[in-house]
Amino acid sequence: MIEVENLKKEFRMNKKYPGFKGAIKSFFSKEYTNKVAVDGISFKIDDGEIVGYIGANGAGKSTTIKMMTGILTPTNGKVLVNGNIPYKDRQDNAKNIGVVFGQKTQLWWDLPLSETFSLLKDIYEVEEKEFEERMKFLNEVLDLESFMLSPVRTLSLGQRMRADLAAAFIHNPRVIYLDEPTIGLDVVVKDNVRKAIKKINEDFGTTIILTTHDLNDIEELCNRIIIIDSGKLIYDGGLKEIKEKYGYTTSIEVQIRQKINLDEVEFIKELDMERIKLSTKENKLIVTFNKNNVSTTDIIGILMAKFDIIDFSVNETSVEEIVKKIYRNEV
Amino acid sequence: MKKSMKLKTYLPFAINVFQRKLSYRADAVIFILGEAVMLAVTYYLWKAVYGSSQNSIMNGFSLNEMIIYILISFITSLVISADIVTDMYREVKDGSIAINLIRPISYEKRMIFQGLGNVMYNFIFIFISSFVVITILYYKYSESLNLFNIIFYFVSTILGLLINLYYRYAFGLLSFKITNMWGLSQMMGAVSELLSGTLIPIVFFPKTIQWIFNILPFSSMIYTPSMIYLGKLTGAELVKAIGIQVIWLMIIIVIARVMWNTLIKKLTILGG
Repeated sequence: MIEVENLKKEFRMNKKYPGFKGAIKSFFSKEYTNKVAVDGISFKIDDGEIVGYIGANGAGKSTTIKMMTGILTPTNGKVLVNGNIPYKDRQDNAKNIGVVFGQKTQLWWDLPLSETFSLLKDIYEVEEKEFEERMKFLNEVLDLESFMLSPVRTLSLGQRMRADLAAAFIHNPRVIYLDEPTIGLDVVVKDNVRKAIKKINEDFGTTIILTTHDLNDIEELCNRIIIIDSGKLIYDGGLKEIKEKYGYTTSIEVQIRQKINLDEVEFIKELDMERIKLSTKENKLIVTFNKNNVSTTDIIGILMAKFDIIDFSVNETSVEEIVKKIYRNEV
Repeated sequence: MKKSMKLKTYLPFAINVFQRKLSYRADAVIFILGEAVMLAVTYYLWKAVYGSSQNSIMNGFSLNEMIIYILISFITSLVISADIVTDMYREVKDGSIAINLIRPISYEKRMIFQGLGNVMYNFIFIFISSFVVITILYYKYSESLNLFNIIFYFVSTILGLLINLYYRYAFGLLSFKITNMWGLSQMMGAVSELLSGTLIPIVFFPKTIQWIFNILPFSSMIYTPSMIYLGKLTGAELVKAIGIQVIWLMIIIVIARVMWNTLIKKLTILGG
């Protein structure tokens, strides 16, 4: 169980001025600017949950993760991971967590991959039998066999990421933090990594906290998401609810044989005065509407009656669209 | 049992550094050549100094003893030096320190063991053979060999080594606050070279300065073991010198722990 209460992190930075003169000025100046990276976040995560932790670049995701893993000390507030305060009992906490930083590897760069695992086995004091069982499991889900003896520096990014994931799990931690685990991976490897994460969660009941920019990761893995923006928590809840709450708008793109003007289709608005939005471009018409009030067939029906329609397509709002809107403060 | 577990946990860090050094052989050869040139310069310098002086003994050192001092202090400084400061600030700068802090291991022990990996390399590949050569040379000069001095030389060198490692570790911790440490660490190198007596034996300085140098931890690193080897510290003086080493080691460990506790809160993990 992870409890985060009113967490805050402020970075103090020497004020910088532009240009060469500015560099000298800031060298001597004692002025500081405070940057609030995380601003009063609270949430609770139960054992065995997979939670997506998302936010735009610089929103404070990684900073939160770093405080939860105990490598950063918060300015204010508190974190409890299975009863430990991570930044105070760093070493105790570290025994029960696994971390993957997508941008940094935790594998020993110059050694064969298998060496990394045996080193980690010693560091985490994993029993021989457990180690072998888990290695077998990881081999199955992540397919490590073929590059087990290659030095880490020769691995491809996809191989490295799979190995990193395995390394984070070798001591069967209660919690795994995945900071952008699918960054830069191709579709197939991404899929494998997702499946492995899911399997680890199902088989071992590991709590997983995932930050990512790829919202397909979220849709496939998480049933709960936490969204933060400029250090503040703006949404915490189920994936379904967010779709219901924000994803009501659907749009239809209709291709019509002749050129079309906006006032010619104005009558569609009568179906739902407030919520329907229209736009046209040459012979293309885009209708955006609220699915709860009007159905797609209604709109297509009345359009068919008046115009000669060549083609149409319906676009449901994806989570990505919703998140984009949230980032831009549109909802 | 518990202890052996601990060793098993940290030994890989030492071995890893050892292997890394082993794979950069050219670097090691060039380093030794460079140091040999420095050594030759020092040798001729002192030869000139002794040649132009009326006394054949200066501050209790004959020319032969001086040569032995230069050699023994040189290999002592070589064997105890391990550049953990660079490892530390590089890790902070590129953010890879994050990876090391998420493991259930003590950062202090890890860094010390990395330092020991370095020491292990220097000990095996440079120290053993040079020590034998120097000792044969010393025997030829003095026609006697004091086993007692040699044993205490090793005791004192081990203490000096630990002082040096903890000192460097404490210094490296500053990189948690000061991101770019290169200049500072160069300066530290120069200061400790002068104060530790590697360049000039401390007895050659004026009395008051000698007193200050003797109190500072730097003389405990190289000067004390070298003087013990030459048999210039015996009896009460020897006990006192080793006592000072032990005290300094404890003080530096305490300072390093206090620094860790303060600075770890200030650490900003860079990148990503």
